Amino acid sequence: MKRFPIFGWLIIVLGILYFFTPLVGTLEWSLRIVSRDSFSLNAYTNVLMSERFQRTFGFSFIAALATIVVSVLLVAPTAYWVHLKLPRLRPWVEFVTLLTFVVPAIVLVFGIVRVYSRPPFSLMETEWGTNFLVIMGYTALSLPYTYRAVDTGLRAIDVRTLTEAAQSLGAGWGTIIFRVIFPNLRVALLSGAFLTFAVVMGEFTISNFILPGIVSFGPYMVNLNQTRPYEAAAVAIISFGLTWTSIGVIQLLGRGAPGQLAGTR
Amino acid sequence: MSFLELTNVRKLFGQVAAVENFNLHVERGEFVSFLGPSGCGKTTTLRMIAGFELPTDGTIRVNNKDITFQPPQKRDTGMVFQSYALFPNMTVADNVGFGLMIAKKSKAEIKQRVDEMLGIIKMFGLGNRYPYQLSGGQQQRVALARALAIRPQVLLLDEPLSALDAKIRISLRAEIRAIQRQLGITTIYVTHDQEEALSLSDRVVVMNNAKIEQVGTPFEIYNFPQTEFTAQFVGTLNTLQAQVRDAARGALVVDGQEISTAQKLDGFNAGDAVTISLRPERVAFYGELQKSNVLNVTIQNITFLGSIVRIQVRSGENIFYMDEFNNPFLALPKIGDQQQITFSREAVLVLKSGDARGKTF
Amino acid sequence: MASTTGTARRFSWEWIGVVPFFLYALLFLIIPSSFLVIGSFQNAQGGFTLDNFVGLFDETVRNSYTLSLQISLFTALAGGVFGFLMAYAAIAGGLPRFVRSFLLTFSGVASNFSGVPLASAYISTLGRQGMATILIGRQIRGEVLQNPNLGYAVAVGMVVIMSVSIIIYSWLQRKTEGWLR
Repeated sequence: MKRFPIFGWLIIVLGILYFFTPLVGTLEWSLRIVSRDSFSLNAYTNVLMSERFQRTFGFSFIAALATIVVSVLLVAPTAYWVHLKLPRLRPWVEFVTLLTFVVPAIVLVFGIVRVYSRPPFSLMETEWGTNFLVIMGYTALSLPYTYRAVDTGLRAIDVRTLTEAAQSLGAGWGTIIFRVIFPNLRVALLSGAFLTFAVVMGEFTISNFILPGIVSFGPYMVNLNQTRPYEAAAVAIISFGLTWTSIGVIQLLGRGAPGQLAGTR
Repeated sequence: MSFLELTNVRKLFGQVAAVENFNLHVERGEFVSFLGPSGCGKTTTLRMIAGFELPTDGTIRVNNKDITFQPPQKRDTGMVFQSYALFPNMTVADNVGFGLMIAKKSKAEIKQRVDEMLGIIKMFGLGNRYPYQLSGGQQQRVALARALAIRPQVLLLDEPLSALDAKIRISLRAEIRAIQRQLGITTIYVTHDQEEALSLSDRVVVMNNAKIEQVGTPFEIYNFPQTEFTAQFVGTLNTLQAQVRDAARGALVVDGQEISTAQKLDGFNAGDAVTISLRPERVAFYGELQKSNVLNVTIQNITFLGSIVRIQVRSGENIFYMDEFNNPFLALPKIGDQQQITFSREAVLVLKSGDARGKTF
Repeated sequence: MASTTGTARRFSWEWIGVVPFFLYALLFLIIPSSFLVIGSFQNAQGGFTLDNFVGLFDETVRNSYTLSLQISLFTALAGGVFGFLMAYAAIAGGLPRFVRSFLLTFSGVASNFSGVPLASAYISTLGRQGMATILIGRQIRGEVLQNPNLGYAVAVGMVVIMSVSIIIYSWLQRKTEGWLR
């Protein structure tokens, strides 16, 4: 008979308490908008119906998708190419992706504003320009996540041999990247994409400094925190639910996909 | 003009020569193996034919067309890798049809050719499987079908059986040879396994240290190794140190005892130290019939190998082996016994120590 | 017979493949960040000075650095110890498998559930987000000391601290990779 693992369970329970107390507290708080004694979903309906929520959420959602596209197209072919042809550049690429950790977002956004509010790149004057800069800033934030995910994915498959096999069958670079390499990185790409999504949805600093007023979801949440505490709690719970779903989707895909392979295993 | 010609091919990685002075003509439909230890340059040569490496020097021609600097996509070669390299995201049918899809063949044509290929590799009806659902042997057969589906001019196989276990290796070996004969495709086969090379090939190219040691049919390579390396690498081989006593009559001295060789000893003088080779299966215990080439030896060890019994013997400084066919009436000596052994004059080969540089085979 | 034999190595175009990436890095990471480094060595008139770095030892600045470092240090230690205990419990503690996979999922969620949502969930317990960030933001806008160049220096200081930790991190990772091999 095996001994009951008291120590193990104790730690786990403590951990669960530690992580879930604030969550439960937040959840409870968000439900008490009408009175202290009864639960109501009014905070949620208020938020979801509010025009500002929809606008900022929509903006950040689209910005997140755009960031994912830019980041994947920037990182994945580069990582693949470096893996295949230029392994000596690998430390440099890694260094660049880690720059985001070294240079705080506030520093980065400040530099971006300075560089691009004067000729030759006066991008700060137009809405198109600021949106573009925000996406570029977000991409910088997503680099380490996307790169790590793709790199893990590339290590899990025999990139060189698969490439050579496709080449000897007559495939050009486009076919190799989009038909052979990317499909085999899909779990890695997806996990990178979801991480990017989560980062962008919660991002405050970059959009706050580049965009005028409250345009994106992060500043909206901060603003809500200061003005409408119940709704703010509701938004936090909604975000948490979204993140949880994303991670769940990544894990599900990682388990089910044939011949897998990528980083989340 | 041969179908595949490599002329003075040379490959440097930095300052290190991976392949030097490689000259080879392969006829249409021929099955040629590159045999040698790892790092001898055989895979690099194969990769230069496939286009994955560019030669530092020299030319490669296929069907009278210079392909030395063609990208791999345009070479019309089919490649099979040691690690199978099937596309994990595609079914067996999609893998086999990949090259045809690239060539923009019609759906119907692709399906027909894929079915034909699956028939050839005896995997008809498994087209919907994914690679991870197949055994190693099946995966490698699919890889072979994929390489053959595009009807390449040359089929290149890079140690295709090394990752498989012994039983499958032998059955797949036979299958590869049968398919190659059936399709009549010119084939280059890289291996470090001498048994594989000898049993499959029309000709074997033995390589060592970036150079060709010898090119010949399996029969020639095994029975008449020209260099010490070939003799050592192919089959079990005894090498003995000897001196020339009389070049004109082929007389040699091993450990003070005279033996003779049928080989011409032109260019040797009495007293020259030479290395001679002797296959274990050509050595026998002394019988009444044989009057020459008798050596006194001490039995050192006896190893039972199933169909043969391998006996280690010693004569002075020379330790070597002799093989006896196993049979229930075999009278085996004991370890430590003094015995006389014998072998024919033809079995004694004097090895060159030079290389085969610069020759075209 | 025409000979293509030649010892000349063909010029390699392989580097073209990484141009977009490094161009992006130059335009949106390196040039913007270097602005700051340059600014930190300038005074309000644009002349060279080291005063801004002297200004780092000003009490306000020093305090916000200290606070940020203390919070980080505490977080790292607590997270490390607690994370280790939980991982150890899940793997060696004889707990059922589902606990392990749940923890894996949850730590994934928790690590991504950062930024503003996390801050608002913990806002009552942990206080405001990093003091240094706020200070830098204000400094750069010239809100506190009317001296943006001091703000640059504060930011450069932060970059230095971050670089040191990343270097130590990389070094440790390489070392452990060596052990595991």
